[in-house]
Amino acid sequence: MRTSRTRLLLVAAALVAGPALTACGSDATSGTSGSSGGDCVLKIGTLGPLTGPAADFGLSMEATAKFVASEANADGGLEVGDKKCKVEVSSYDTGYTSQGAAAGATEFASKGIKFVIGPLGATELTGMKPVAARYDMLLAANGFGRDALEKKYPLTFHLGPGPFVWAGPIMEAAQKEFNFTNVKLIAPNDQSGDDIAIVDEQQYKKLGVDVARDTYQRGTQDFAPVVSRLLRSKPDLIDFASSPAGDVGTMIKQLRQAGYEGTFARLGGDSTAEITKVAGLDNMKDFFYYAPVNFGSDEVKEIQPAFKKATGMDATGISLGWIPGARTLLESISEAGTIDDTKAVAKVMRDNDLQDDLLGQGVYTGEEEFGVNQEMSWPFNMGLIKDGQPATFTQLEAAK
Amino acid sequence: MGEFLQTMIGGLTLGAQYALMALGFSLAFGILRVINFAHGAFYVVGGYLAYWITNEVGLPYVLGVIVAVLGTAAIGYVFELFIIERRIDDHLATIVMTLGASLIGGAAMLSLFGAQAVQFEGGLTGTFRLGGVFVPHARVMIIVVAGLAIAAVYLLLYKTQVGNALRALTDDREMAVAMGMRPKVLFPMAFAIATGLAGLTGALVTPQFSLAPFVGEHVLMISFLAVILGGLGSLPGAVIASVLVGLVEAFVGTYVGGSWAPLILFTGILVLLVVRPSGLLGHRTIIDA
Repeated sequence: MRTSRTRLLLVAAALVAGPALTACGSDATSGTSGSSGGDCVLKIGTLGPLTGPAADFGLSMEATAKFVASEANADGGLEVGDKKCKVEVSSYDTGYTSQGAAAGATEFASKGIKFVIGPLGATELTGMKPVAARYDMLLAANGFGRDALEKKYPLTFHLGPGPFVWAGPIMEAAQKEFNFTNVKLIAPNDQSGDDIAIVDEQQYKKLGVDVARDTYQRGTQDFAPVVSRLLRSKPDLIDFASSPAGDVGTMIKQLRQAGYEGTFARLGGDSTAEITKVAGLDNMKDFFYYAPVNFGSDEVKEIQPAFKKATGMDATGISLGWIPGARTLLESISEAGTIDDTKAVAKVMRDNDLQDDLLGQGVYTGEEEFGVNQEMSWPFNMGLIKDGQPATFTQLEAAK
Repeated sequence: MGEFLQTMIGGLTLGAQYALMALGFSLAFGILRVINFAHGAFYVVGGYLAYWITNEVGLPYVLGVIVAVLGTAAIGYVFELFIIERRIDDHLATIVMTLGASLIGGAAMLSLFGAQAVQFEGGLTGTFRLGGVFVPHARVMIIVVAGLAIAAVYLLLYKTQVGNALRALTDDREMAVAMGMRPKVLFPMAFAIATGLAGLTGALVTPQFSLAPFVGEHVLMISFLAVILGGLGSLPGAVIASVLVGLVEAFVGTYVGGSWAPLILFTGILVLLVVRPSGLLGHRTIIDA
């Protein structure tokens, strides 16, 4: 049999393109939530990018879910009605894509999972919400998209505050430190990148500084052309918004090689440790970022060993910042007395007082931005690296 | 003018990196007719071997690079000898085999080093500056190594008896075997050289970007693109195509925008392949399956 080389290459090309078009899903456990013969099991789903440049986000989200599950199980299980339910976590790798998150929702539905901690990317949340709604799934998510929360999806909550809440106050505090006047924003050219960069851009404009926004193709490895473009307008601040940590680290390295002496910002999800690993602390030099927690506080220092023991990974800022919201979900399930009725749990959750040992007093926000008050806003910080010294933290108030 | 020059140099260095990436891939295809989907995984393994030797064992970076080359070449040799060689004439089977090897390689690195990127700075960190133009030392090194690797592969293939034998096996295996050439020795060696080149690329390039278990996917994409654009199995074609891709990416990325580079690049390639289906330096052939 003779095969033309063209045919062989068509097969090959499809295989090369394939991974880019499909999510790399994987699940950790199986079974469904429920109680039989007196054993009650509450299965919590968690999903996000567990591999790839944004893995720091997904692994942090997964660790948060595992940690709160371990807290509940340490007391013999979560009290739900007259039963103690063992909390189990089922993970799914979305590949940081919309279709990956939608596939994750279907996977969870097939396992009877009703409560999900995640997803965290704007595009993931966009893809997941309609599927989750079909199965009455409650999402304790963290996507920073401009339509992350919507009235038509009442079972979707935010675990923590979004850029609408923290971007303005952090920029104001950072300007006192660095006195920047010309800002360049760069983020991937998709919803997870664009949405946050647009919010940041609006906030910089409110601050009265010159700001221009640019994009790059997600998956880029060599940022030399992007670096040349960024430097053209001679910015004194470059903000990477929610670009993946690996990308940010590489860009910082290449910008410093190109002679950039200005300040960096990362006003998106916090993954400073991962960025520092790739870029090196010397290259970071002057860097400010949204920090969900203060690593210098006693509460945070105290929880870190337990977190490591329960999850096997060092606590990141975002993983700790999501703990109060995840705890609120379990508290609400307990208080509602059901592991099936997500609407009842959501109702209890909306009435929760949002008081937590780790971060203190939270409030519900979101009415103004999303038309629905389901974003748990906990106290937050500006993380600051100055002159290449280890980070310091300043607690800030949400914008009025 | 400074920006134009900077972009030109950026494009050439980018092209040199891509050429180094594409060289091993093109070699495996040109000699063995194997589309090596594990090329990106060998790149990653090479990066991690160099990282392990440099950061974990504490030996100099140069040794890390040497271990990366030898290690990936050895893995490639064994893989070809015991796996690929058994189905060498079944092109679809070799695609599946190399795809499987790619997944195994990525998963192995994931288990050993975790999903997050590791801190790997490599050996050279400085930058040459001339007026407004900058060139990192590491990129100069990559250009030099890419040039040497291209020359070495060319000399091996066209100026040595081993090269003649390899090309004879590619052209007509039965006749070459009848003439006394031994594919079971030569093919694993050719594949080892190809995977060793992937390992070398990983060891040199990952310190400039980032090193995580699945960064090889992009490398595979670029290598595949260069081989198709350059003309199947043509080493000069792959090199020229790599430089072209680098220049297009640099100029479009700088003057039009980072998001536009892939769109314009792939549109251009599509048009070129319609006009010239065999690529820049390729020629149409039919292969036995």
